Amino acid sequence: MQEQRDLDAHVHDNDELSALIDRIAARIGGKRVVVHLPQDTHIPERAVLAAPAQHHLAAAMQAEWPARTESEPPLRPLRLFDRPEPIKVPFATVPDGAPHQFTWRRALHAVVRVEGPERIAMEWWREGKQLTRDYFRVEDAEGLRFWIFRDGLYDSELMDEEGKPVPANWYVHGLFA
Amino acid sequence: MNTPAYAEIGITTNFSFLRGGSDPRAYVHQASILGIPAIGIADHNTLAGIVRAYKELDNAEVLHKPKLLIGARIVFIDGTPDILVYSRDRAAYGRLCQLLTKGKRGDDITRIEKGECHLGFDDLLEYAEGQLLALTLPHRFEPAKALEVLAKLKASRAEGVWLAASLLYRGDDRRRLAQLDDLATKADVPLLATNEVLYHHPARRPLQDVLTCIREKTTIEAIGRKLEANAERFLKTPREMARLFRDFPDAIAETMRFARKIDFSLDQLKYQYPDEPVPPGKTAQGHLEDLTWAGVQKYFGGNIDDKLRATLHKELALIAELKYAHYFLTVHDIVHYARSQNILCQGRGSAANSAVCYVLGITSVDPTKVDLLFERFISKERLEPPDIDVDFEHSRREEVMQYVYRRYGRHRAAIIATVIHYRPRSAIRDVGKALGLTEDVTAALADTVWGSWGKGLNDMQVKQAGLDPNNPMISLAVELATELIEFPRHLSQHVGGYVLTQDRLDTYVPIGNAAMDDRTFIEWDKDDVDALNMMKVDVLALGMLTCIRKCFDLIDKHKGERWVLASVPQDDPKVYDMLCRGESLGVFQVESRAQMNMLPRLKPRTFYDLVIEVAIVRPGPIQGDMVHPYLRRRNGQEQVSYPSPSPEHGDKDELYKVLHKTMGVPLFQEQAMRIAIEAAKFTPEEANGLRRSMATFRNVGTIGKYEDKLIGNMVARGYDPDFARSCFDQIKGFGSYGFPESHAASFAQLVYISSWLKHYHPDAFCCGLLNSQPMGFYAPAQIVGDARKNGVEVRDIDVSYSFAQNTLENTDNKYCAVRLGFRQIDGFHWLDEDEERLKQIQSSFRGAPKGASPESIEQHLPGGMDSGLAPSGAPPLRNCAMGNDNVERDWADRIVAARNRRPFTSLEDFARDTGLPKRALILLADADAFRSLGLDRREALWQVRRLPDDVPLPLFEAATAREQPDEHAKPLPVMPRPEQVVADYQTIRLSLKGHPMEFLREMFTRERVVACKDVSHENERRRVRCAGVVLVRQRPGSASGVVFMTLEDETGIANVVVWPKIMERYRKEVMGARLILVEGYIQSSPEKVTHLIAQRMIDRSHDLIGLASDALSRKHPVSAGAALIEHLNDDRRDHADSPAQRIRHPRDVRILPPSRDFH
Repeated sequence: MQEQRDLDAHVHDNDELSALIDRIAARIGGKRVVVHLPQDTHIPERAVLAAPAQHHLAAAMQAEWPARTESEPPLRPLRLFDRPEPIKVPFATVPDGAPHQFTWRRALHAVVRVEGPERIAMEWWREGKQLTRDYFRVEDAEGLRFWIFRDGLYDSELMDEEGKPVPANWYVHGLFA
Repeated sequence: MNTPAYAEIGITTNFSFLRGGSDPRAYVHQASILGIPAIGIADHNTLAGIVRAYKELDNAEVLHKPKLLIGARIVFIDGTPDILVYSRDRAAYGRLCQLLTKGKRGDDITRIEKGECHLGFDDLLEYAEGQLLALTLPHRFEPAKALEVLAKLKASRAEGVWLAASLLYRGDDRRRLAQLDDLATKADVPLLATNEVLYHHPARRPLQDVLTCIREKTTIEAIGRKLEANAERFLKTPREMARLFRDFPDAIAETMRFARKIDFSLDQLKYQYPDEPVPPGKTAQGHLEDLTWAGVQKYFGGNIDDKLRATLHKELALIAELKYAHYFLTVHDIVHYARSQNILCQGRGSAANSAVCYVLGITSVDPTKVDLLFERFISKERLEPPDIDVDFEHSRREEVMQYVYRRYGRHRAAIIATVIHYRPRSAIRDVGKALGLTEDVTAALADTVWGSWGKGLNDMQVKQAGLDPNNPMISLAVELATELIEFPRHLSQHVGGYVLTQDRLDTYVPIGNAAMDDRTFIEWDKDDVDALNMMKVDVLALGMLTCIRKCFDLIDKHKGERWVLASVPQDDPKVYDMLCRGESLGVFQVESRAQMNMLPRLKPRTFYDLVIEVAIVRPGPIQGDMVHPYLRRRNGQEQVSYPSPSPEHGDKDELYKVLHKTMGVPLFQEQAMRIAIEAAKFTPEEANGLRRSMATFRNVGTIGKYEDKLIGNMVARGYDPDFARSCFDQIKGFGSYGFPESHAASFAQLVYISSWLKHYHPDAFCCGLLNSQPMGFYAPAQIVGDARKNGVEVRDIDVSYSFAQNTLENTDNKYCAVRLGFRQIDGFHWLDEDEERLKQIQSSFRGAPKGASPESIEQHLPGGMDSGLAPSGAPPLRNCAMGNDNVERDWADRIVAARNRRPFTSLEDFARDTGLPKRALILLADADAFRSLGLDRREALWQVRRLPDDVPLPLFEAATAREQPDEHAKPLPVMPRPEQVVADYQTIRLSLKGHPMEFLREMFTRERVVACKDVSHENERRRVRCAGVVLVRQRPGSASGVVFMTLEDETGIANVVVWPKIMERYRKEVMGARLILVEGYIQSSPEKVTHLIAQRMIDRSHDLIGLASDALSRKHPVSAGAALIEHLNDDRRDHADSPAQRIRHPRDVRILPPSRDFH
């Protein structure tokens, strides 16, 4: 991250960075060098907008991200997947328990630590059926930390037309450092 | 598992405006359904919603009544986190009210705006005794600060201190709860579980989100994380709360311990009547009786028959038994004050059923003339305090209101509130905006609703707006708007209802500032006050009383006859003749189109006929299909019959007794009640419930449950089922508009008196009406037109003769001439004598020596009680030193003062002698007011422009002097009459020189268009084309879709009927045209009520432009007339419950807009 020195220095650093971005963009394409801009929304995949760095560098440098309490562990993963990846969850306590284990990319992970759920409801004003997500921060036996969620609430959303329960889909959405 | 009991103490209702997503009543029901034993409603800095919740406990559908805890969430301005405050007992509740009052009224130094509440932490500490306090903390909090607050709370005199904890699925719930627990232990306070409830059911989340958008003034796309992330803040079951808090079961148990400590319920608000009106040494009842018999002396010379004597005794006995004497005395006291100031007033409503009220001078319905139904007013069964509304002259009502404040003091008297709810229009507008719909879309949706009070929109209405009901955003908007309807938006002061207490009012309910200076009002509305049996006095305003008083004063001054309300000769056949002809423009209550049409059909000949006329032409009776049967029976077209029950069940005449005065058709509210009691054997409570459900339009839904009972009982007693059903339908049709007979009688008095004035003194009547504007149905143009038609000469505004008010000038003819006053000029500054009098009264009280009693001060005021008041008028305005700052407001008086010194001979004279600003001169010139100086409008304007500006800079004085052109310059071209007329309409909204249509007549005649007067009975069934200026567009509440229009030309007016199909096709023309051409056929009734049924309509507004064309550039695009559609006879606008809507009244319509590019 750029340090903020005096105004000239800042401009100078900016110039260097811009030049770097331009060089890389020339190689691999402007759209593939991105900066991230925070979006004011609860929906995780929309909370960050990737925008071409060549045009949005200034905005990115001035962007304000949601404050984080230093003493608290992060509520959001460092790496967020573009698309949540499905995981297999054999068993989780109803209505809001985390799984004891899950399988992702064919590897089985045993959950030893859990925090959650953080319940994020979707934006009801958008089209399409959307389910409420219960997110869990889980740590497996190897110390890897995942951000997983169950898509839909039992008892109210995970039902078919006749009111019979349907099984929930689980996903991993990101990884903590 | 045994579910532990749980009390939810952190509920926010929609009385935390734009924050809570559910009505207090919804929570009561939901608590019952979910088995929650106690709920606490704690709205943001207010107790406005608690009475609603309290009343709802009585609803039979609430099977498991929760204990209702009364509290408030104090939101501070000094950064202290929110604290829930619940009162243990009555005394603590009084303190809570005082705390909130302090926040809303502040001290005398800083004024707190209406709706705001400024409280600091120390304020809470001051009123902490007896309160249960729960500190709530935001998601992220500072433990140190929280500890500090808790410590201070513990050190106060509070009953107890808790730390509220909620688990809202924020991801770090457990961690945070552990922190709170830690904090609680350190502070030595228990944890208290709550779900920080915002709505009663998770389905309300979208609406609550929309409320947030409205509150934050942004759209749903932009609001971001100010919204809640999930839908968890609903009223949860005890089982679920216990599960959430399974690691801290004590927090759950604590809620019940909390609830049990609270002893206070609204039952404990024991109301006390104020003592003032009772002279020392007497009891209230004793004084009342003395006044009663004194009144008998005054009104009847002590000579009354046995029946009346018996009635008075009966009433007094009941009043004594129910201990209501104070109430009558309080109202009498106010009325007495008004009379002493020569303010006309009259009681209305059910109080007119009381003979005691008549002899006290509160009402003017002579008990010997009308059958009184005292039970309608007070009954043992009802146990409600009597409801006496008094109408005062609208222009002087403020004086009366200030008197009430002075007499009782601001800590014991305050106005009640009106809750301004979301109506369909405002709901769809705000929701649409929040959802990001464009303005024209929301406007289109809002416009289709026509200002109606119905519930929500249907697909047809959406389509009518030109929108697709299947568009998801549109249907979402409509759905949410429907949910939002009936939500409170804010509180406003009631039109004139006061609450008065003996002890401090601010220990019953919080009091806050109104928008108007010097006004305070309580947080509860009329229904709330009634529910708690508090005394309410309605000080209402009636324009017609002002008008009548002004007429009486004018007649006294110019004709030397002094009349009062009670001395006008009754039963004059000539007056009734006039009404039978339908000549009722300006007459109280019967001047609308519908009434005018009804008069020739009903043909009133007696006072009681007027009572019926007043009651009958309203949406209720029309919707209930009572009007036509009544008319048919009255005209002998239908036989009058009275169905009976089977002989074994009852007296065959039981309905005859109820309905014979109205030919067997129920027309009055009391009759509906009587039918329920006599024919359907309702108990008094049930009849009361029926009456209530009829009395408020909001309760229209509840009347259904009485349906089965009424019909069922009647059929069981042998009535014909069809008849029983039609009875119920008629009663349902009353809705909120059925008139009580006594109310109609009070109004009928005024109908008669205003008719009498119109017939015998059309000059004074015209003048009085003009001087009492805004009031009534018609614009000045029609009032003047009507007067001229009746032989009254009306004279133009003129600087040499006019005053601020319209005045009379003696003539040799039968009637005086009406001289139009300066007040008719739009934009002219004149002092309202009634406002000035009020200010004088107020300032003399502010300067009064401390300890002076209100009475002693008033005696020294002009017109004070013993000052030998001059009969002709209100206390004369003293010329208290009106400083220079009044020049701006006092143009009219300057003109009068100047011409009293020396008559005006030229415009320069005038300008110099009056010292008026140029603005004023231009207005006068443009209003053609300089004719007596030999200048018509064009010449006057020209000269005015040559005058130097108001304060010429010395440097330029010489220059301007030189620039004044030669006096002998070429004369100006004469302004043609059409332009004069147009200019008249633009400045004073009427013209004595002609009508715009007359200049277009030749053109229209060439097009074979007839005049309005030709739309007459004689031309029945002819097809014609008629054109005229659009005066009024109306849509009656009952007939769906049909629109009535009134056109005017130089020959008179024509009534046009536009059926829905035609309306659909010509909507734009109907809504927008100022001048319209209608093709259709004439339809006339046997009583000669004539309409033009429209088949084609053409907008001819552009023809109006052609009339005005001159160098001074009056030409401007004639914009569409305001889309104003009035409900026929819609007195909901004036209903005590209904907030004033921003509908433009027909009388305010501009036929021609003012010229814009003027200076």
